[in-house]
Amino acid sequence: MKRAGVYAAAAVLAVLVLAALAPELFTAQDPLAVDSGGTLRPPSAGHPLGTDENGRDVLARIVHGTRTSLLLGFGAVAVALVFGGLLGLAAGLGNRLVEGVVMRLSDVGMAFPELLLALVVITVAGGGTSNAVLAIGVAGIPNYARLVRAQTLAIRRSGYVEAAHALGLSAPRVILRHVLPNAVKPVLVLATVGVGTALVAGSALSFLGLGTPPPEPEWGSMLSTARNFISRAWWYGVFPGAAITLTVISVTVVGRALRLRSEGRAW
Amino acid sequence: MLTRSTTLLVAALLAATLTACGTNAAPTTTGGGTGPKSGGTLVLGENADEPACLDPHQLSTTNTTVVGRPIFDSLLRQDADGTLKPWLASAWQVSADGLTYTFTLREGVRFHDGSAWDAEALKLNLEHMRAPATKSPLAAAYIAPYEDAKVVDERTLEVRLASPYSAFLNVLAQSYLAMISPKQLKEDPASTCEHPVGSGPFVFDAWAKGQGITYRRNPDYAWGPTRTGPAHLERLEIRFLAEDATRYNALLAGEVDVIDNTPPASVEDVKANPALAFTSLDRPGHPFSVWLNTGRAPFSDVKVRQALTRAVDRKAIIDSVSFGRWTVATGFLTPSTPDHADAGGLAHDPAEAARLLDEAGWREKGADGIRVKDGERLTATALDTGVNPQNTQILVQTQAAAAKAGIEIKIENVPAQVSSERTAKGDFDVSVGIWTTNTADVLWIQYASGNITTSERRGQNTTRLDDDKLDDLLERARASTDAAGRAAIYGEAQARLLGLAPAIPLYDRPSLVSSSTKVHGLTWDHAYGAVTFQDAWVS
Repeated sequence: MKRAGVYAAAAVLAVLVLAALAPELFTAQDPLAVDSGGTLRPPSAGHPLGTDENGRDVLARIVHGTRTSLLLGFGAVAVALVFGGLLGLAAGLGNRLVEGVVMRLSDVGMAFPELLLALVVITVAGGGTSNAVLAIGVAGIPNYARLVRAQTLAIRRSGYVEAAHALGLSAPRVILRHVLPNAVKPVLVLATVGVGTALVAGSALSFLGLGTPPPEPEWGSMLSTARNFISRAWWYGVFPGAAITLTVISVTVVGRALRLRSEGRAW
Repeated sequence: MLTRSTTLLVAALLAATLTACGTNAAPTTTGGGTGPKSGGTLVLGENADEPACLDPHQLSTTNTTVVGRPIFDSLLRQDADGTLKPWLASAWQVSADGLTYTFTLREGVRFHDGSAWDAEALKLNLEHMRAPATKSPLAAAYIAPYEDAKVVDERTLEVRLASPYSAFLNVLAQSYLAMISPKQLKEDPASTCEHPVGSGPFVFDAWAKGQGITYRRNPDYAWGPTRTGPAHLERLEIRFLAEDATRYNALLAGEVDVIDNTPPASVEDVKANPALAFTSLDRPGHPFSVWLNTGRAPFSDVKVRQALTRAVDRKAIIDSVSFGRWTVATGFLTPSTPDHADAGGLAHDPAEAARLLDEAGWREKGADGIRVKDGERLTATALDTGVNPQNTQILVQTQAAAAKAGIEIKIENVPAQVSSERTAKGDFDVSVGIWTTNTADVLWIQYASGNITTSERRGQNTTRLDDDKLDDLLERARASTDAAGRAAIYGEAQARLLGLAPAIPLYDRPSLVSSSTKVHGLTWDHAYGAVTFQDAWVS
């Protein structure tokens, strides 16, 4: 029974990835086609999920918005993972000075709420999708740096690393073959949860008008605009909101299953 | 002699032009047979366009009138029909050459700090408006021709202008040029920002930035524009509620008694709700418009500007954005502005747009339908702060209409500060805005080449329009001392602007005010089109 949920979540993710890669498969409508005469129309045969305040097809905008929204979620986590991982590794393996600098910087970073940090980056770098990815990613770096460092420290003192050293393996080899693979598991767990949070953060930035610029569709900005029309057009807010919720739940469910499996437990 | 009779003539003309301007009735909801009730608190929900300072002379914010009128009175007041009536000035005379204005001041007026209203006080106010330290964005520009003033006696001030300025009396009726306590201006003018002292029906109480302002009744008030005697309300509170939906819901929930800037989407619901009343007033000035930067390509070419104007179906856009609440602009002045001339010539005509673009050399089209000339795409950048959902909607729909004609508009989301800086520098192609004022002189402010921002001076000619003929017309209208002649010159200027197409006039933005039926006696400041509370009461 539990597995059925996991399969369903995986199926949702597969559909989302497909929608991100080939949105034309799901809708024939142009997400940018404005129709000033047909704004805020309820769901109908022509517009299965209704139209928005500019007469654009809501379904087409959700489908075409998948790519940007997923990019925000996965892209931001990738940025945080890569840079946080490298910094954490450096702190875990480097000398006191390196460790001190990295950890104090991450302390500073963690002192700010992630969204606030992202806003700072956006203010400096400017709005737009790629900057939003960067901003949310940068805001997530301290978390990953801390986790990877803690893992590295633990592994560094473990028996098998000492054994590898004793066998005379070179330092880079020890890091790549022994430290990194063992440090990565808990990080991946954090990342699956992170995708959901980053997606919501990306939506929040667009919601604040700092993410994807109009007229490109993005779930967060759709939701943001829709709240002004909520009393007249429920469909406009409900469907993009459902898309965000469904995606975050699916990623979390699949991520949890993967973690349990990696720990050799039943999922 | 051109004295009060001039004023009366102007008034008559204004009345003639204004009779056609629709909803002029005060938003009074007279309920039952009971008279006004004294006491109580009225809470107004306003949008988030909160002034950074409460010194009216330092402001250009749209909400200045709503926020400042309770505290401050003006020299003159403007009637519903456009007539200028005495207020803190009981009478005035204009010299034949239009250079000297003699004001006779009302007796018995006292400011909230007890200081007296006299010729010296008026002079101090005029000097404060133009003092460099005030950094006035609006009042200083509005009284730019002011040269100096002579105190004739306690009740009489003679004001001299450097050049005739036909809009002088009109702008004096606006809240941006309201009268501040002379004591405050003499002793600590900087304190006006945080603790404004005026002579109005309400005394400033407290200001919680980002939240709201509270006021209490001025018990000595006896010089109101419509009624003598203090305000009925014991307290007045203005709350800044950024979200359209939040503001509307606050009214529904009874958290606030009145809301300004009613979301157009909710107007129908307000009207259908028996517990609520709705009223609106057209604002004078320049209609809400899409400004085009004429200082750089592609909109430096008048044909491209004319083409975009014709490519946009203004009525369809305005109807969809406002749910039919706004009227489509007919020209570069709203009908409730003195000297407005209905010129027509803003029809939706995609074929003509295409022809104009062909003529301008943008003949080829790329794969995406965007026109190309000499390998360059016909592309423009629009700035949007995203603060106002209707503005974004207008930009998106304009963008779609432009794309159909082969003009690409990229919308950039920028913070308000960046938008303001880039607009001043001319680093943009498209922006949106409105300019509310009670004179046609707004055309001089917005389109005279002398008002293009330079490194020395920040001007308000956003579109950077530079046209000798128009400059000449606007200067002449400004200097005109003859009302009929002035109207004719402004008519010419408006026609010329339609040809120059520095902006696409979209709609005449009305003030949309909704209130609980418990609220009575709301009035308008007709010089700006803003709701006022000196006669309001809550049952």
